[in-house]
Amino acid sequence: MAVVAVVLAGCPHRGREQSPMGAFGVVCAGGDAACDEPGTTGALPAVVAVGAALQIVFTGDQVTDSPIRVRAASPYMAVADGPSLQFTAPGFCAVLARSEAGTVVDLAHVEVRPIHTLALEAPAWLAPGQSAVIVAQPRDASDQPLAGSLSYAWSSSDPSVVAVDSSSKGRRAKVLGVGAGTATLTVEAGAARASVPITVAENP
Amino acid sequence: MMRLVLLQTTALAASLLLPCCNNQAGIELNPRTNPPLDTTLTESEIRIHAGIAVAVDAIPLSGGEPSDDGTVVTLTSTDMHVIGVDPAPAEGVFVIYGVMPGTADVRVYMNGDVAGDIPATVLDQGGRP
Repeated sequence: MAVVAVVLAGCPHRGREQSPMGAFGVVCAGGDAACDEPGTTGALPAVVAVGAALQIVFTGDQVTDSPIRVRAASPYMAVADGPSLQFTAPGFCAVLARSEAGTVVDLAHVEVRPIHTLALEAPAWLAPGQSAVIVAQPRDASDQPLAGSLSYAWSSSDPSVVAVDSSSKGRRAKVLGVGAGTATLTVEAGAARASVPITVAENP
Repeated sequence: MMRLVLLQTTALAASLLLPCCNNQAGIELNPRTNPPLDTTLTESEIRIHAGIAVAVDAIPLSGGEPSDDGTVVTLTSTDMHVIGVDPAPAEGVFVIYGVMPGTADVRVYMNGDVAGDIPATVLDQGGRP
């Protein structure tokens, strides 16, 4: 009992919390700007994008007789989406490591912020036949990167100049220079949108 | 004379009603965690935002002082759709969290008997679109 008390005494901070008995973590999913290797487990991010999903897990020693599940404190702030939580409103959202019997063994707060900009890393030009990977990074109003898995929609203003690979659904898009000219590459994630011109030419 | 009797009757009625309207539940709530938004946790009032959780020690009081006479305190919510109250594995420790904006009570039990209700208000964080 005394050791478990340490668990709750040790979780006053939001995000990246560790306790002697266990810790919250996140299973990396496609489209998450905070991780690049799907399936791996990382630390609970402190700041998440509105609309993003996180598969949060609690790992540690057995502290109750029933399995521990992670749930949001409020459906007003986050809703269950399969094994993940989707954060629906800006603010702070507590996540609870809770047994089926209703005992809470740990808690943490995630801060949820709106996407202010989508930063794009893209080449200014491509040669015909050349491909490149474009990366989108959601950021808040203070230019801080936002974590969480989002749905991205990529498009080209002129596919005869720059084509977007049809498999480009996450924050990374594969584009191909097709014919000479300039096309605008656009990405949308939630209410955020960003565009960048890409010129296709034999010589820049 | 009639007025005096009326006043005495009113005073007697008020004194009889006092215990039912006193929200002092005879406990002290000591937070174990630091919620990221302002939260009020007293024996007479709880104010917490939806989405915020805090772990508390619920300590029984005797004569206004913490009591160690073995009294078992239990907290529950009268409306889990508004405010959640779950036990922690350690005795006397509970996690209180705002679920949806609204009002409800946190019911206090001492050794299994209802000792009082703490009025609770769950506030909107104000960030919803």
